[in-house]
Amino acid sequence: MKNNIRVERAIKNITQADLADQVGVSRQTINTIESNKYVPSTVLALKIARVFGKPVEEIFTLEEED
Amino acid sequence: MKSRFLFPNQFKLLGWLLAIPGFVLGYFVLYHEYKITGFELVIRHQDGLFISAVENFTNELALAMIVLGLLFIAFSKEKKEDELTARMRYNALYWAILINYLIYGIWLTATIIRAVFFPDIRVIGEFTDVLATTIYNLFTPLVIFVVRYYYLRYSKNGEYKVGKLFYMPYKPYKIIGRLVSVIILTMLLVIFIIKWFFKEDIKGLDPLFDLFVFLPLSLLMWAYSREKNEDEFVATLRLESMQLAVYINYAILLVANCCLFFTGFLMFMFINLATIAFFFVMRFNYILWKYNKEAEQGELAS
Repeated sequence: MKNNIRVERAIKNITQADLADQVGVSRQTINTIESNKYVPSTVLALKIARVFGKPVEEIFTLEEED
Repeated sequence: MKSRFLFPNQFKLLGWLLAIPGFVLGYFVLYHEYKITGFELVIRHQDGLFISAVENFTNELALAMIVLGLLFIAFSKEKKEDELTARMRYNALYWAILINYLIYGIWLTATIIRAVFFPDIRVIGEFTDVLATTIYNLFTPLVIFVVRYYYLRYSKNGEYKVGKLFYMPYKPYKIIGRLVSVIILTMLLVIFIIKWFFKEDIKGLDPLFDLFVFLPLSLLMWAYSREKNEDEFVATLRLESMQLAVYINYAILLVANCCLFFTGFLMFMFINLATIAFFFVMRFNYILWKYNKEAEQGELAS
């Protein structure tokens, strides 16, 4: 699964730490998700999507091998 | 994945303050026969053949400090605990138990080779010492876990390492592991019942107790091979079961440390070689069975 959190953050002009605070996780966790090394739970994915005010499919997308 | 049953963050510091002095004390007890003077009680009416009436509690104190300290370090919340730190903790624990049993497997192979081929020469020396191995095994699962967790947690780039789960294929490992474990456990149980209830002393049976040394390895095979229907949910149950197994194992160890002495505790240490894997297999299969039953009922109801 890949995601465009980094792009969405740039559009909204917030840092990893800001996003981490808003969804209640650590900054490292956001960083690890952004580099596609960790697939977040549905709850966390929905929280992240809510911060950007977009449906979850616009932030997270399935890849071929999923 | 939520973190469950963890100590508050402050316990991490407390853990280090217990574990480090514990290791120092343990080292002096084990290799220099150090005893804290006066730290003893008369627990028996008279000296036995192998046991004295007075018990010094220095070694018990060292073990309790090491185990409690390591438990606090291992299972305290992070300052910012979230689903990923929980995940890393689970994965690291699952990995650590595997490594601990693999080290046991290597040790056992070396011991057997030495006993068969080099009965006179101590080529491998202390490494094949059964007593030392069982003593170390009381805390090595926790030590390996703490090292692994900190490695995943504090890697570079401000990024966590998640770590992957290791599985052996269902066929043939799960089948062999289960079969061998059940056979060994049944045989040990039968011998135990004969000895305990019928007070029979059948000399021929005693060598069968030695089969126990293979039990940790067959349980390992059973525990670390894939379920037929292994998916995300089953993997979660697997990881939770491992945490519970480790908790149960160490709760029993701390109790045994207080109330078993000499041969009783030696026996306990020996059995302890297999207990984490045993509790894991019990809990994991029970919870799988429970969910399967609920799923069947749910389907009938709808």
